[in-house]
Amino acid sequence: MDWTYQPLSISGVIVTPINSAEAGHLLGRARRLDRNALGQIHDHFFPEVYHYVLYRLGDEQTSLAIASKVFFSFLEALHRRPYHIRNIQYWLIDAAGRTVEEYLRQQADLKKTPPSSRLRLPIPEPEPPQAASGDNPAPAEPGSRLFCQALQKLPPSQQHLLAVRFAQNRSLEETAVIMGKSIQQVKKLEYAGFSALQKLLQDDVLQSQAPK
Amino acid sequence: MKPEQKKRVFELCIKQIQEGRQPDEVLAVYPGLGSELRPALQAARAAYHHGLALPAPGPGQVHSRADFLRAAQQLIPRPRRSWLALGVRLILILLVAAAILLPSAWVAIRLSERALPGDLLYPVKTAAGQMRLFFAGDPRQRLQIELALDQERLEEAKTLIQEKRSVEVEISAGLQQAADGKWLLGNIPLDIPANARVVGQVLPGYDVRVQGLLQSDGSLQASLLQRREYEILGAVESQSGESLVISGIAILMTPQTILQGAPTPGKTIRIIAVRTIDGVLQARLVEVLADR
Repeated sequence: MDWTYQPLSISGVIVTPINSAEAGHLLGRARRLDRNALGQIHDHFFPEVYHYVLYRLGDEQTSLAIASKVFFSFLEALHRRPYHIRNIQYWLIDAAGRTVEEYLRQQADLKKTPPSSRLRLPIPEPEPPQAASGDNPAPAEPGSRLFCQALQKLPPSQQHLLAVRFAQNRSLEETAVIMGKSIQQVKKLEYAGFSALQKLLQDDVLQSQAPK
Repeated sequence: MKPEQKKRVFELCIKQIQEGRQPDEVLAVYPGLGSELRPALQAARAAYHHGLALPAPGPGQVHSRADFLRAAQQLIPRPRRSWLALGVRLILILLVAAAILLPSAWVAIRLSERALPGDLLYPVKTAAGQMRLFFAGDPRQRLQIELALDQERLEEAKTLIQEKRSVEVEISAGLQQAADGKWLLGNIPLDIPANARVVGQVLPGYDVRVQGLLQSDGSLQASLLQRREYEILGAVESQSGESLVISGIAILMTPQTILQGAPTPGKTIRIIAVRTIDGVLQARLVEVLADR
């Protein structure tokens, strides 16, 4: 199947599309740890990975840290098992999904652990919102925070699906290819996800509006 | 409506949501499904809207890129200095050099075989002779090579005389004095001027090394005369009276022979010998080096 990575213009970042032959060539050079190829891969795929993570977590600092971690994992995989990576985009999105789940699990464990016995984590905890400036991203919108809270209550597979599909506004077919599932499976998962999400969103809105 | 049709309608609605339309606007076409699909489409609208609001990574991407490339640089294996690899490389260089030089040297030696003193390739010929001596296996073979080289130099001089060429030569051959008092070196008339340098005791009837200039009249004008000596190193095979045998070479000891130790069979000795025009080797010095 011939495919082309779409230009990433959804958030104002425009990166030249890469076709399958170019991506294959780029991967071949990356396996040899070619500096230019690695730089091109980072330039092209970082925004996509970042948006995926940000879609699921809603916090920009944490999303930057996790997206960077995904690229370090990519580097490690290139070094240790270079031929296990067959498609850069699919591998990165899959790794981003696993890293976000690991992070959410750690956060959940942290909440259960008393503060005195907490260990340092490789990924920073979300920082409190700050005023927007050149280097500091703008604080998350309240609606966005509510959406992320509701999204994180869904099963990981449904969270992954919605982030793959809506962080880059992808079609059903493209989402199915990236996730390695059939279109029917994706449709089923998506319908279940939306139904559960709507209920969670309604509950969260009600909770946020409840008198304290 | 069948479940399959509902799924298809739902998917069409999602596509329209992804194009930015509102759930009510989308569902207006399917009034019968409004109450059933509206909650899911509202969630889809929220999911779509959430994706639209995502900002660009900003400067964080630049920092991440720099860290990423720095980490990649550390993963690139540095070439190790291995003595084995260096040795292999050195051997390969030598083999390549030998592959280039040996055929050239062989060609040069072959071409120099007929060279005469004064010719361009003559130094190659003499160097090849020295190489033969260097690689000689035993004292007997070494002596045979030395004698053969002396004979070769003499023949070259005779050829030069025939060609009436006047060049510097170095010949080792038997020195004789004719009845008319003239000197002959291997049958070549030898002119010994007053200024000729004589090193050591030079006697007729023995081999003598002479350096000089070949004259147009066929004679050799000597500039240096020296006793021709042969060095023989080996173990004594037998000793009987005045005769010693080393590696099959018979050497005569004379009253003038200087003995340094007793050259009994089995001992390693060094002999400096001279050779008479009859081909007899006479020891000048016998030095005992060690037991076998």
